[in-house]
Amino acid sequence: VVVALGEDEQLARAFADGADDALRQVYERHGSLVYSYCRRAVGADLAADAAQEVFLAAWRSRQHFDPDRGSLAGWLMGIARFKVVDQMRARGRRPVPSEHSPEPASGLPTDLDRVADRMLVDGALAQLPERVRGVLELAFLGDHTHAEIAEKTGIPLGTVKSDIRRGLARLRAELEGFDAVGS
Amino acid sequence: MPSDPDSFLLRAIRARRTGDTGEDIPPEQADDFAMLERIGGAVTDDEPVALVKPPPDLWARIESAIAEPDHGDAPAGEPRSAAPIALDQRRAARRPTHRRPLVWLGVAAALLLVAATAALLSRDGDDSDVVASADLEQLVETGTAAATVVRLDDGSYRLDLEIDAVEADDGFLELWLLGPGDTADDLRMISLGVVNESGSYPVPAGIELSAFPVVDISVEPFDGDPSHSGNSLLRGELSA
Repeated sequence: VVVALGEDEQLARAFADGADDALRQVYERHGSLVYSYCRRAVGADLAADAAQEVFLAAWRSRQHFDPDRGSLAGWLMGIARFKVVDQMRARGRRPVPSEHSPEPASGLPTDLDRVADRMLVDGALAQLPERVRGVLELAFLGDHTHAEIAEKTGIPLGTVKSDIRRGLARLRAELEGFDAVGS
Repeated sequence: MPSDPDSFLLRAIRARRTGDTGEDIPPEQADDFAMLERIGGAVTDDEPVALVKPPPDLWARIESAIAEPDHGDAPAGEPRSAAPIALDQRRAARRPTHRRPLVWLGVAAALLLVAATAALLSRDGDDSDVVASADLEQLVETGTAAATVVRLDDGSYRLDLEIDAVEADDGFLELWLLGPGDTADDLRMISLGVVNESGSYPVPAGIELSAFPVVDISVEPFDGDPSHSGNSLLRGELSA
């Protein structure tokens, strides 16, 4: 999967290569994302410990990160998912079951997966150019066809199509990065 | 990609609301459809999760932990206790289905016993093609076994099994991958084959390894029934 990751791509490759200072930059860029997810999963008291473990594990296994298989943010969140599940198991706790998709008896936290998806997609949307974001929102939230979006916004149809293709590729890379951990 | 990406996208976006399962989507497009549906769900379904800034000292903690080579590895010396396993060791009544419901709780209990021998996602250098491993825990008193999953150059997976002194009594040993099914007492099972000694077993292409996190060795009677006997000897959870 070839994905335009923009300036993130450089950082992701520097990280995979173990470059000096790459982890600090990754932390600056994604620390809030990882910490907030951990906090949501295991609570404020344990979130910092969990997030610390995520970045340590990420650094130690950086050679397993493949920028072509998904985004770095997604991959970090995939590691975070394993870490919080470990912590919950260790404490005999289960994530809150979701009413939409009942939690499997294995303790696999489908609910937390949806939280991660949402956080990753939100984060990626926020980084997309405003026009691309607007077009995607019309498609997803407004249920509009490409032609309707072009008509509504005055953006040429060809541009709408390429915006959607580009935007979707970016969102997809986030979720594929998440899935790449442990698969 | 589908011939009409526009209507394909719209259909995937609407799938959750309309209960469209995408059953008639051609198999080569099913992943795309599922992914678009998932993205649509993430964009529209839930309340956004507010980002919280981490405590100011978190980076300093990470930095100093990295400087200590041992920190962050798997907890050492977890006791391998011989806690009772809530698994019916006797052969369950025969059922016509190949998906025999065993007690998943038994698996869960066994998983808690699995010693954390591999640091999560933290294998170094030489064995970078190893994606997961498990020490198998005894469910009954018998020998030992350990499994390693290796990713091959062509993207497929192989399970390497080390087994020692496991007795099959009046049957044979069979290697399985197990994963949770749809209900609490349902398991999905994939047989990787008969075990005579340590060796390598191909993992069927196309299965999602994360959906089958448990390696299981059962003893099977010579009765011609290909389903799991329900009589497991060793079990362990794969961890990356």
